Amino acid sequence: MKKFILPVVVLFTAVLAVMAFNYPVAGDSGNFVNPPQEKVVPVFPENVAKVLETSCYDCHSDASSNEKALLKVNFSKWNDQTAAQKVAKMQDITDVLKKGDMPPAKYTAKYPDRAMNQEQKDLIMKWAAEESDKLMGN
Amino acid sequence: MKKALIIVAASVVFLFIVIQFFQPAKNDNPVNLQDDIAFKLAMPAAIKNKITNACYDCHSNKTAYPFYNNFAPVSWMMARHIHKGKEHLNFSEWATYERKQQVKLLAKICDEIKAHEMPLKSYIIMHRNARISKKELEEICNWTEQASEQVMGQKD
Repeated sequence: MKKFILPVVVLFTAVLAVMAFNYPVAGDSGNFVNPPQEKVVPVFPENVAKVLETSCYDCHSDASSNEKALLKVNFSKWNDQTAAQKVAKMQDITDVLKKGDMPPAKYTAKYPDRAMNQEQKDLIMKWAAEESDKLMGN
Repeated sequence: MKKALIIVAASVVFLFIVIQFFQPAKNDNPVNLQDDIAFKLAMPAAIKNKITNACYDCHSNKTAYPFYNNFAPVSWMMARHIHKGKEHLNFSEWATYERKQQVKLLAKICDEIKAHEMPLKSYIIMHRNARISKKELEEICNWTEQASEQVMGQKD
């Protein structure tokens, strides 16, 4: 009988210890259960976002108060648009990059490190083409 | 003094007569209705009429010319407007545009009218029925939005 009780007590203690160890401390949702992770889908692919932030965000994001620029496009509010509006904007973006109208020459003269080289322009235009095709179900 | 005036007037008249011999080609092409925007997209009659009256003279393959287009240099100015207009958007050749370009052009139609960039001021002065009221603008913008959804759902 004694021989039988000992393993039960040991096992019981072990289970308690494990449970105690895993019990969440107040304010720490850490390791007891895995909280459902909200999957954050980035608005732009990382390499695209980097170029936009460097060369466009000064005027075309919530950080800007340039109303004329914001009326054209506000990248901070990109996902507030319908798919059709996004496609239209991406065509505009492609057009101004092709023509060399953006970023404006005045701006890049003042901030040469925010100009876009051909490689960066190509990256944005490729993204615009692929993303539009995706949105249009091509 | 009187002599000088006569010479100037005579040269102006002479010049005016000479330039009449240089007339640009007219925008009067065979229209393929199957390529026209009205054939490709659902378009209420009111919208179709307004756009035809306000836009087609410069944004289609056929211009309804006023009598004064028979005189240079007015005819030159018009030819330039029509050439540039068709370059940006030609409703007669809508079907030839890529779908994403169509979506963009629809957005531009609403934007440019809203910004009073189109129709051109000089055009509105001479064409009363090209004027677009606030209510008509709203209708056009509602339509361009619906139409772009229609394009989004179409297949190439």
